[in-house]
Amino acid sequence: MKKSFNININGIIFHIDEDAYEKLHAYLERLKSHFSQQEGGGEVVNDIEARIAELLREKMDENKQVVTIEDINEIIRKLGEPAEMMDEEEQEQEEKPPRFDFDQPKRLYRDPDNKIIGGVGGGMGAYFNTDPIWFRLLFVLSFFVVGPLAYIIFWIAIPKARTTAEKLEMKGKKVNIDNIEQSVKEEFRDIGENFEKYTAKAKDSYNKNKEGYKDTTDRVLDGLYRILVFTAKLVGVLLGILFIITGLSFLASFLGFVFLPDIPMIFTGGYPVHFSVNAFLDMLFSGGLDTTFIVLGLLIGIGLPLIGLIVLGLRLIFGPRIKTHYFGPTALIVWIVAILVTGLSIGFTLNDFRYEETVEDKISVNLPEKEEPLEFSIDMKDHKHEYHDFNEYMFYRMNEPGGGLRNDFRGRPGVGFYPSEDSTAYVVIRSKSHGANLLKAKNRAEKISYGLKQSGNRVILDPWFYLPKGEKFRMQHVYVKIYLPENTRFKVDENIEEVVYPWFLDDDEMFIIKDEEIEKIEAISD
Amino acid sequence: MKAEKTKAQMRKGVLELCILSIIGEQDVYASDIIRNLKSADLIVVEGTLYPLLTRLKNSGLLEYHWQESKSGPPRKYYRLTEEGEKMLETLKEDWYNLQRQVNQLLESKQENQ
Repeated sequence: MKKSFNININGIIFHIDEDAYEKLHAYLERLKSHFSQQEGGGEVVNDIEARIAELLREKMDENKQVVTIEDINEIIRKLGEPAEMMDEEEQEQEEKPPRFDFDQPKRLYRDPDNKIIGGVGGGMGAYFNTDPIWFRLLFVLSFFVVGPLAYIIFWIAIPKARTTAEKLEMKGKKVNIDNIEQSVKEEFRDIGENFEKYTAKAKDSYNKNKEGYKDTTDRVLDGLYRILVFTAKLVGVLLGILFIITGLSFLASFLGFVFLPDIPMIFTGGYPVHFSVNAFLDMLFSGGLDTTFIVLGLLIGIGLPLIGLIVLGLRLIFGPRIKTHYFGPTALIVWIVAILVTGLSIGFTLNDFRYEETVEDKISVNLPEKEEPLEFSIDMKDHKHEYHDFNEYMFYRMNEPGGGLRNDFRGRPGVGFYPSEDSTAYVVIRSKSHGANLLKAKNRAEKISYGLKQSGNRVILDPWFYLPKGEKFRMQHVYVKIYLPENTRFKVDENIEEVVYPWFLDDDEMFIIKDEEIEKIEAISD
Repeated sequence: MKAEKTKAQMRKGVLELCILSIIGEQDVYASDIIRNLKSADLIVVEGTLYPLLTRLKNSGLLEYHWQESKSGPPRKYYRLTEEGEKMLETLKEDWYNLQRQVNQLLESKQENQ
């Protein structure tokens, strides 16, 4: 016994076996989807249906009343599969599909194959033919505003692409015979899976019924698990955002530091002076290895981990779709090389800081003959800035009078007043430097240029000490020790006041050396 | 296999002419055309005809009218439009020329051998 249906083809009623019906139905669906994209395609299908009705009618008589699957097979053989029916012009079209891809309108679905939470971003990416990352990023960025609400609305409103046809539709691909074939195959597989799921579920519910009390606990546990997973995802995303922001800002400031090193800052005697990282690195690192290497090494050594941090952040947000197959190992190797190179040169450079040596230069100061006080000042010439505004060390590039830039350095000396051990006044210029050995350190210290001059009762100190051209920076420093005998009265100007030892020296007051101590004289205007 | 493909292509080339010619004889419906074509061994699967008919109709070479049938639902009867008639004449002429030339070519070759 077989189940049969009544069907109406082109106005004629047929009795048809169930399996025959399935076969015929599938065939007609194939035809429809094949011809639906052609002009007058519906008409073609109708004509073919009419022909099918005619052929079937020829087969039916008193003895044969039901259409069987053999009949349908024969008809299909006679009429041919859609692919065989192709018209010449059609075939030409088939060969250049991109032109006709537009014919298939896209539809928005949630993409279950490309989802991180619900597949909204994936579906939108497919619909707009863009990387879903942008939509995800948009959602993440608007996360705290309208994001969750909008997402939930989209989630509810946009249907899920359940079948392959829908997924193809989602991506705007033609639904042709090959695709349909694939669809059918997948349908079968899905059915199999669903069946398995169904049986598993049945078993499950059977077990649960057996142990009914476990049901509630299970549900609570399941709910907790879901909440936990969601929270973990959320924390991951937030962490990712944090990583990206941190990485980007550090990277930006670091790159800014290295590549925009000339910060116009100060004016010396009319020459514009720029603070320069290049000048600093040039003067810091030992010769032999070019500064470019150091800069590159630093760039990679610091920049790469920051980029890694950003990538990690992206991965946290977007999941493993961010491909990092080669990033990790490559980055690691490059980073190690960079660190080695940088470390080596830093090592050499540090070695050059090992020993410290000081050289002293004594300069006599003439005590004024009259009752005038000695006046100490620092000549800032026409500087617009206060002396103490300058850093102790300045690395800069200077416009050379002849044109071009010159790396340069200058340091601000320290100044101190001390009671003299004898009855003379003198200045000791203590120049200090570091070096790989004592001799080198001493040589460097001797090369520091600094001076002062006296005219009458005025002693004028140089504002800066300088290094000879090409000299490396090895913590060179100058300290000006001014020794004054008993009862010497002296004044300091406002520049010295800022940098002087002892700290209480003030440009408004006069001081005197009494009993090997510096004392303030109250009456300054007598 | 190669020969099969070429044969099929040759038939395909003249299919349009044959259809126009069949319809030119008298008003026919699809199954009549199929019977004719099959007897001339011009088509393999019947389905081929339908898209072709629709295309010819859409390009204005054919038109159809519905006609009641003694046995069953009404049928689409095709006939040539004026344009279709002209097309048929052109194609026919071309076919005879082609046939003659191809024959000549083949025969002269045979004689040379």
